[in-house]
Parts: sequence; C-alpha cells; structure tokens
Amino acid sequence: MRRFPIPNLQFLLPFSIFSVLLVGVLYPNLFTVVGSVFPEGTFSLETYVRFFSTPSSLEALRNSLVISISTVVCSALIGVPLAFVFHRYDFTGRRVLRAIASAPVLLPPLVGVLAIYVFLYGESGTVSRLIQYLLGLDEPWPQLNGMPAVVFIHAYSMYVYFFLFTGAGLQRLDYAVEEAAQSLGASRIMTLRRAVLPMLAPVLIGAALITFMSSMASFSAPYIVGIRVLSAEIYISKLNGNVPMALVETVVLACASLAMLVMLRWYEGHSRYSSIGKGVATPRVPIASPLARLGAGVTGTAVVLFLLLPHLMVIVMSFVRDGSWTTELLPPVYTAENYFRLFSDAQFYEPIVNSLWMAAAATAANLVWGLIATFWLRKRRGFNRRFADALIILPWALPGTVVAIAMLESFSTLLAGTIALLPMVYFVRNVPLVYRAIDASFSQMDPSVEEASETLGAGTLYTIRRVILPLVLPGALAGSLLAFIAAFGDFVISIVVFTYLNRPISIEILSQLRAFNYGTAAAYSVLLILVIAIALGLGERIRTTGDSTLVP
Amino acid sequence: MDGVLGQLYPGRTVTHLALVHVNKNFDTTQAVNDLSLEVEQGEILCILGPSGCGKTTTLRMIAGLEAPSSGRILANGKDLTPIPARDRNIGLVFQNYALFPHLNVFENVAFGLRARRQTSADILKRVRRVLDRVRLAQYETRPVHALSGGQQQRVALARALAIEPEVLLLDEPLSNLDPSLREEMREQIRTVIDEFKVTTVFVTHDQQEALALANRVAIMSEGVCRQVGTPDEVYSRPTDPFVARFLGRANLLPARRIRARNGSDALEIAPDFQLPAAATDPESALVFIRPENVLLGAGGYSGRVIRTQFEGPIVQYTLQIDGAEVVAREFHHGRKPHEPGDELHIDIRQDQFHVLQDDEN
Repeated sequence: MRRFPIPNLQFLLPFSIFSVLLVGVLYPNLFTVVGSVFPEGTFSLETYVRFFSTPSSLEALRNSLVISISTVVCSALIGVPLAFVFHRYDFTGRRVLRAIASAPVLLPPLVGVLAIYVFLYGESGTVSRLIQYLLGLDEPWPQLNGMPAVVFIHAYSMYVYFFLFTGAGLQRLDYAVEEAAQSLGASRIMTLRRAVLPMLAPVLIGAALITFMSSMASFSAPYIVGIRVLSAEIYISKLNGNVPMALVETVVLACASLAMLVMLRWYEGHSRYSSIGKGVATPRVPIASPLARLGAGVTGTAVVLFLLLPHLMVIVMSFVRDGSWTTELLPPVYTAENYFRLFSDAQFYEPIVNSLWMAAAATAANLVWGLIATFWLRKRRGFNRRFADALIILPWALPGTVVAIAMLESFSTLLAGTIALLPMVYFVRNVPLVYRAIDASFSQMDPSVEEASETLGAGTLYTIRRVILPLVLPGALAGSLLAFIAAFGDFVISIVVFTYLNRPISIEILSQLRAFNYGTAAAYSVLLILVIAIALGLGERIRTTGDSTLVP
Repeated sequence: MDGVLGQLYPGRTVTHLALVHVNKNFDTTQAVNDLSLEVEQGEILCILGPSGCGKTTTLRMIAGLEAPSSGRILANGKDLTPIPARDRNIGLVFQNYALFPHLNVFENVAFGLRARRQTSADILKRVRRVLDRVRLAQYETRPVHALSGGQQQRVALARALAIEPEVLLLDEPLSNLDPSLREEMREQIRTVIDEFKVTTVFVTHDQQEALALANRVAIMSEGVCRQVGTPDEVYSRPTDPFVARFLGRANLLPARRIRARNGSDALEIAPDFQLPAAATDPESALVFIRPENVLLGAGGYSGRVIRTQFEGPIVQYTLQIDGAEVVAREFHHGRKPHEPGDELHIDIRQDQFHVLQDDEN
C-alpha cells in the first residue's frame, strides 16, 4: 500500500523542540540557581546572607515592591474607569479615542522614558516649563523625578492592561445579569458592587498580576530615572564584576516573578465566571445633555493629548538640532539633519542594520520553532507536554534582565562577546509569545478539517501544506510580528548582552542621550515607533483577514 | 467471497461492507461492543441510537479515523483494518461539515482529486459534474463561509462524492440544519445518493430521519447493536424494548401467559384485559402495541379516557383498561375529541401487537 519506504525522521521534531528548551531555557536558569549557591565553587549561602544584610540590596527589593504596588493601583485607577466609560457610553469620537487609548503600546519602554521623563515632565521638560510660564512660577513644575516619575511612566504604559482586560471582561459580561439585579430591586451601586465587580474580579486580578510582573521586571524607567530597583541592580552588580551577587539578585527577582505567575495560573484555572445563557449585549447610553457633551468632548481631547503627547514630542524633538533648544518654550530651529545622518553615516545607520537583522533572525527562528513545537506538542499529553509547557512559559514569566543575565553567564565561555548571543537571547525571550500565538491559531482550527483531508486521500505532508499551514499561518505571522517588535525595540536584554559590533538602536539611543544629542535620540525613537506601528498594523490585517477564513 | 463472511452470512454474495465482531475500548469505557454488520452494494444503512451509543465511533472506524480494538472491517471481502484513512477511498461527511475555510467551493470539492494528483482537466470535469448534481454549479468561486448551512452541507457531500468513494459515510447529516430545512435536505441527499448509486452508511439520533432515509436501520445503544432490519421491521416488530421505545411512542405492557377460561392460551395484562397468545410466547412477556394500533370506538375491551392531549391533526389519549394504562393516538378528522371520563370500546387486532420477552421480571 505504501509507495516506497521513507526513513522515519519524526524523532527530529521532539529533538529540535527539546534541545532548544533544554539548552536555551532550562540550562541557563539552572546555571543561575546553582551559580548563586556555589559562588566560589563550593556550596555557600553567603551571598544570600550578604544580599539580605546589605541596606542597598534591601532598598532595591523594597523599591521594586513599592513601585510595583503603586503602579498596579495607579494603572487600575486609570484603566478600569476608562474601560467602563467606553463600554457604557456613546459619544462623538468614541472609536478614535478607543484606538488612541492603546497608544502607549507604540512606545518601546526606553522611548517612553525618554519622552515622558526627559522631554516632557522632567526638570527641564516642556510641560514643566509650560506650566511654569503659564502660572508664573519660580521654577518648572512638576519636575517629575524619583519614584513618582517611575510610577508615572509605568502607569502611562501599563494602564493599558487594565483597560484592555476590563474591556474584554465587560464584553463577555451578560447584561441580562445586571437587568436581573435591577429587576430584583438592586440600586445601581449595589448592582455594580454585588453583580458586576464580582464577575469582573478574575480579569481585574489577572490584569493586576500582569501589571505587577511587568513593573517588577521594568528596567528602562528606574534605570534612566536612577532609582535602585532589583532589575537594574542585577545589571549594576554585573557591571561592577560582582557576578555572584548578580546571580543571587537574579534568583530573588525570578522567584518573585514566578510566585506571581503561579498565582496568575491559579486564578486563570479557578475563578472564571462564564455566563450561563446566551448573553445580552450592553446597550450604550448616548450622552444627551449639551453640557455633558461639551464636558465629554473637552475631557476626551485632554485625554487624547495626554496620551499622544509623548509621541508628538518625540517627533518634534527629532527635528531639533542637537544642543540648539535650551530654555525656549518651542524649539528655535527645525532641521531634518538628524534623519539624514541616520541614513548617511555608517556610524549612525549601523545600529539600525544591527537591530533589523537580529530581530529578523530571532523572529524567523521563533516562527519556525513555534510551528514545529505546536505541531508536535498539541497532540501530546502527559509528562512531555507538561515539561515543555513549563519551560516554554519561563522566558515570558521571568524579567528580561533575568533571562539576559542567565544566558550571558551560562554561555560566557562559548558565546560571550560574539554577535550571535544577542539574537539568541531575543529568540529565547520571544519563544512564549510566538508559541502562544500559534497555539491559539491551532486551537481555533476545527480539528475535523484535518480528518477530512485524511479521508479525502491526503498524506501528512499534503495536509500540512494545503490545510494546516494556510489556516495557522495568519495567526503565526501576527504573533511573529509582535515578537519582531519586541526584539526590534528591546532595551533591557540588549544592554546586558550587546557588544559594540551588534549594538542595537536602543543602545545607540542611550548613548546619544548621554551625550545630550536629544535630536538624534528622538530620530531613532521615531524610527522605532514607525516600525512598530507598521508591524502592528500589518499584524492586525493578517489576523483579521485570517480570522474571516477560520469561521466556515 | 471472504471466508469469514461466508461463515457469518452463508448464501449472501452482494455484501459490500462488513463489520465483523468489532470492539472499541477507550480508556475505561467500551464504546462499541462486538458489533457485526453488513451493508449491501448500493444500500443505505442507518445506524440509529442515542448520543453516546457508539454510532459515531463506528462510523469513524469505518472511515479509518479510529482503529478497532479488535475485530475487522471488510470492503468487498478485503480487510480494511490495517489501511490508513487516506488510502481507504471512503467519503465522510462530517457532522459540522469540516469544510476547508480557506478554500472556495470548487477547491473544497477538488481537494481529494488534487491529493490524488489527477490532471486539471479531469478535476475540472469531475468537480463540475458533482457540483451540478448537488445544484451548486453557480457557487463555484464562493468562499465557503459565504454559504448557508444547507449549501455548506451540499459542498461537504459533493467533496465526499467527488473522490468516487467505495462507501459514503454521513455523520448526523441533518442535525446542524434548521428544522424547516431538514425535510428538503433529506430529499436532496436521498436523490443524490440514488444518482451516484453509492453504498451509504449514516448515523443519526433522529428516528424519523433514519426511517425516512434508510433501506435498513441498525439500532445501537451502549455500544451494542440491538436490532437490524428494514424501517418497517424495526418499527413494527422490534425485538427489544429499547428499540420499541426509541423508534416512537410505544405501549409496553407486562403480561403473564395463562390458560384462559375457553381453554386457549392468553396473555393477561389485567383480569379483564387479555390478548390471544401463541404457543411460543414466553411465560412472562411484554406486549408491544403502537399507540396508533389501539383502535377506539368498537371492539371487545372497554376503557376510560384519563387524559386527552390535542396535537393538531392527531389526538393522543391516555386510557385505562381494567387498571392498565394504554396510550392511543388517532386522527380526529375534525370530530370533537373524547374527553376525560368518557367510556370507550377498544379493539386491538391480533396482527397489530407483538410480544417481547420481559427480561426485567
């Protein structure tokens, strides 16, 4: 019946999957843990004792926790009410505003810090000086600095988690439950407190945990503002040559993040309310009174301005000649020379080329590995599957600094100082992102189409080529674009692993910043924002056209 | 003729598909238990049963998507069991159709032919022919998600028929359609199957669908085949209480065989409710009577109406005959239905009841 015997190469699939997970994920993390308790080659907890008795280490830990908790609270206070407003009320410009609400996503972390802290609200920021000028103050205000600055930057970018999660939760919520509560005589407050919020609790907790994890892992903001936090402390210890301490700090930070991950997983598994009936969509209340409309319009414009100000500011700054803008409200001269320089001087375009090839190579590897891994793992149960799942989630759950230090230290004899290490770390870091995107695509696919293909006489390869790939590829590509964005704009991993020969854009932004070449730094930032916007737009298009073919 | 089949069904020569002592175990449950079935060339066999009875598993084993735990599946006397699904040439129409969402109507139907590396001229000809038969010729270039449920089903049917399958399998062919569409689709499926003269097995939980579409019906429950026969046989002469109940409303009245006062054998349901018995009837029996065979207005039994239920053209009465509850259904032909409390004469003709072994007593 078989046409001719072909060698069975199926073992290559699990081999390639597990070799990446073992070498790229398990080994570096084990190395870190082992290295932290064998500082001089013999077992010793001395470095841990030192960590917990050094005031500066404890300060870093305390700052990390304080900043993260404050970030969660602030993000929730912005994101949740905003989601309710968008869900419940209808007003002019609602859809535009809703799209703009996610604008912070366009800013890579470092660019966000640059715009908010350096350009806008810092000690000589434009907004600070504008307020000084308008109110006739003696000095600029607010001169954002210290921990409040870090929390401000975090809240600006991380409120999006609460906004999106709450929005999705409200979307799923069955409005009939609210109508039922009201028909039973509950007041609006009571309906909110006893019916709506309890049903939203799971998404709110999910958003809080993710915000907390992101904030603990955040590097750019505390590093630039100069606040001692764990994620930055790791890098500084490493820079000072205190590798054992860097490893201990890495383990402590990793443990904190993993604890959050375990809680997140537990909540995902245990407390999801699903509505029982078909559900009724929430009617949106149009804002009727002219005064309220005016108020809504003004507030809306203010919110848009606030959200887009960092982007606008970076664009404006990119046209300012380095060093020409000092105390004026608006820049005195505009020039395009920052951009010309980026593309004419090798010194300046090398980082762009570096970022492009490293992000592209890492993403291509992510896509190929992700397809192989999902294809093989989706039909497995038992130990193999659980082991792989646990390893796959790690690079997402662990802070970027942790992933970077672990890989740098564990591969130090082999790869440190080579240009190959950085794209490899990008790859490992994005394994979960791409894997999950492809896995989601697979789970949207009706499993019986594969069987249909088989009954129609198609062999495995034919089925993969003609059925599985066309159905899974849109989601896989969209996920890969997200990975590309993350690698292209990355700062936290790059700063740990880069060498001069592969210095990426973010590192160049930092060094321009240090030389006070704000115009050049801004031009690079605009480039990053543009690429991210294009990639996101492309991903959205691929995903939506792909989705329409998934529903037969 | 295969040896095993010869032993099983001596004298039959047109058997096309046969299941021989097939078992299927999933972890702890036995989905199919010692199932033997034969389907003749060109026949439409329906496997009927409640959900979870093993009927879909049986279909998937015929298609090659599940392997039997033991037993064999034969086509034209050849053992299919070791052959993978892709080499069986058996067309399967999935319950949810499983159309390829990224391909248009034509490409969906052409899929199996392309997998067989046919020339494009052949493919064009055959796809056009099949689409024509299912009356979808003008929808060739449509994406499948732009079709209605009934049209999607016809694409699925065309796709399965395009490969000119040995056997056509249909999994719950009408269950995903609006009730208003079902009857129409039933006719169309019947027409298409007749035109292609293809041996067909379909599974359903809907007894009307089974009786209307099949040449023969196999009733399954809990993995076991209870009875196989023509629609009329299984409806009128069930061999099993489960079959009797599953194929529509049934009176199943416990009875004992006694020697009646006139000296002949009788089945006593109640002292004043006795039916004539045959010598072969068991001591402890279940008397099976379809409600439409309980004739009202004349006859030797007297009963009282307990409940009247009006169902449009038909009225259903719950009666008591000497304490035994009997359900009767009749067309009212515009007459005023009987009311609870009415006393009626009732007749049950000798050829319209059927005696089953009562296993429970």
